[in-house]
Amino acid sequence: MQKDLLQVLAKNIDLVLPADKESLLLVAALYLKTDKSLIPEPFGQQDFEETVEEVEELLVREKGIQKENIARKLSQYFYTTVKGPRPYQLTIYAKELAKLVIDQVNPAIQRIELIHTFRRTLPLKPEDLENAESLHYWEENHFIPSRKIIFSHIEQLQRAVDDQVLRLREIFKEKGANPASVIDSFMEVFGNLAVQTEGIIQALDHKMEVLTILKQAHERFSLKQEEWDLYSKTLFEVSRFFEMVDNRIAGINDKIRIASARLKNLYKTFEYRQQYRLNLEKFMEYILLQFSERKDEAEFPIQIGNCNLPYFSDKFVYIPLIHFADATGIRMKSLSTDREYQEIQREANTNILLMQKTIAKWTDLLLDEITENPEMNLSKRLIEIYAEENCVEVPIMICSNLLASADLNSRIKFEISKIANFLDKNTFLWELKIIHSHF
Amino acid sequence: MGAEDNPFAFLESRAAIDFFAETDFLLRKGRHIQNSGSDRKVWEFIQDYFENLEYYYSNLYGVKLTGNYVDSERYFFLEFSEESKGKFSGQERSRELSKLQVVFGVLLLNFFNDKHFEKKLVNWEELNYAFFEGEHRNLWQRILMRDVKSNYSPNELEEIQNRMKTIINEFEKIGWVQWQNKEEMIFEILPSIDRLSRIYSQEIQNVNLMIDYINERLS
Repeated sequence: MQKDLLQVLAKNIDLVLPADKESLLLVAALYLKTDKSLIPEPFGQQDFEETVEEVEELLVREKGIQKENIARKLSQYFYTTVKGPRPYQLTIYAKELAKLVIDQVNPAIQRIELIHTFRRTLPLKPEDLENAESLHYWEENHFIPSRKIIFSHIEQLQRAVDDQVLRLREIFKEKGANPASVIDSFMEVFGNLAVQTEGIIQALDHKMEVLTILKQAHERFSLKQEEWDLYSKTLFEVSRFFEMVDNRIAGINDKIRIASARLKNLYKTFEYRQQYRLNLEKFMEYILLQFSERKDEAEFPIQIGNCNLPYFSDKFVYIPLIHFADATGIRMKSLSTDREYQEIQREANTNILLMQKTIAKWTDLLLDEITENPEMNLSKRLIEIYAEENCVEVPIMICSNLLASADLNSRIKFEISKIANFLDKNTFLWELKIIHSHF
Repeated sequence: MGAEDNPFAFLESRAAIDFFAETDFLLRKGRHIQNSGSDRKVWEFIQDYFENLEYYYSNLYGVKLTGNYVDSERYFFLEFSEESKGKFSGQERSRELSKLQVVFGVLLLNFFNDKHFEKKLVNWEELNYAFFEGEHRNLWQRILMRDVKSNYSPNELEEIQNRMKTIINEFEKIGWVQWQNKEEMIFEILPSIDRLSRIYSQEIQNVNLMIDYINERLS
């Protein structure tokens, strides 16, 4: 059976559903116009054509809509012809479909609080519970039809809350907005959500009222089994329906609560930031004021510490390998050499070295001799050295070295005394005495 | 830490071979590393090996590797402990920001907070406004030019600009700003400028108390 139905639907789907957006929009437009009596019902050819033109404008179509074509598409399920000067009438199916579609997007519906829908569609008066017939009437004509409407409203509410939460995210991401206007936008969104929240709360209260009234009426239906069965079934259906409503509303509540918490945090953050901003500006003003005029470098009050950062910027030092020829590009002149002069210099340097060697040798020897024999006659010894080396410079340098060594050797001291009038009054002789101490 | 036995084993990883040297150079220069621009790879390396690096610098240099968050963005830097500068003691190894740099940094912090929902770009016009038309213009002029005048010569203005450029160059080295256009003096303040606010957080939060206290002591 089900399969057959689906096969039939598949065959007729192009006709049952509006074939395109132009068709759907036309049906909706005709429904709205007849509903608000802008055109009579049934309506005429002119009304139809004018509405087609309005749909063309709405959709900003480059090419016009073929009126005959669209009329043909809608003729099966969306309008019927009647006798009279105005031969067209929308079918019940067309009206229901148009109403369903319009309700889905109607922002006015989204602004209506849920409590209004509850009160409008699910009133429960005491007379509805007088007897089994009235209860049955209430169930068939109020409760069952209202379920669809209430669920539909909840779905729209869900969508509205989702839109508002999305709007919140977009507001937050807006660049260039100052905090005050951002908060204003947030508050506007939350104003809308607050109204809906209040409606939800009242709807839940109303729901509890209905359930309580229903439960309290159990005694009236306990006399007869069939009345009790009807009452139990109605109570069960109502309870189950309200449970489903609770579940759906709980989801919406959670979203509103999360968004509300986010706003609260944001508000607190803005408040804190604003205060921080003020403090920061005051801090800057204070340290600007504290700059000393006496010195080049400003002074902070001692209470404000210094800002120390690790900073190690020493660069690794390396020694360059200079390719001199590449570096200068200048050819070096070859140096001329005086070989004779070089030879003379070499010989002189050699002699100096030999002399220094001899002096060092005699100095060491004399120091040893002084150490062994502190009473040694230094003059006599130096003369002996002079005779051997046949160079006066040797004993002179030896003497100089001995004097120098006295600084290094605390056991050796020198006394210098003057022997006056050696040859004549202009010539003096100095006597140098070495004193060697063994201690 | 990754390797329980050898906390320095991470230095043998591929990532360390590729990025440790650069990371080390930058951190020891005092730079604040953020997940943007040329520091991105270094940031990722620090993020991945934070504990190892934290131990490395604490153990070998006596300084702390720190990661702070600003609006869910993290930045890293080395900082001294309260007790010592570790191996950065000595004049050649660490330096203080000058007072003028600190004041200018606080000015940038103000800009950063003002531009809450926008990119933190600053241009010379904004600085010009702060120095010559803003609420604290006299104070700024006294600091920058030692004298408050109604008009400054082009040379004097150029001197101010050059001083600012020098400071901004320094701040770029430590990762607080990034030049966008040096010729037109446009730069972006980076989130790590937050570091300055943390260092002086007590003073900023309690600025009124601080002012009262100092004034009381001075009177």
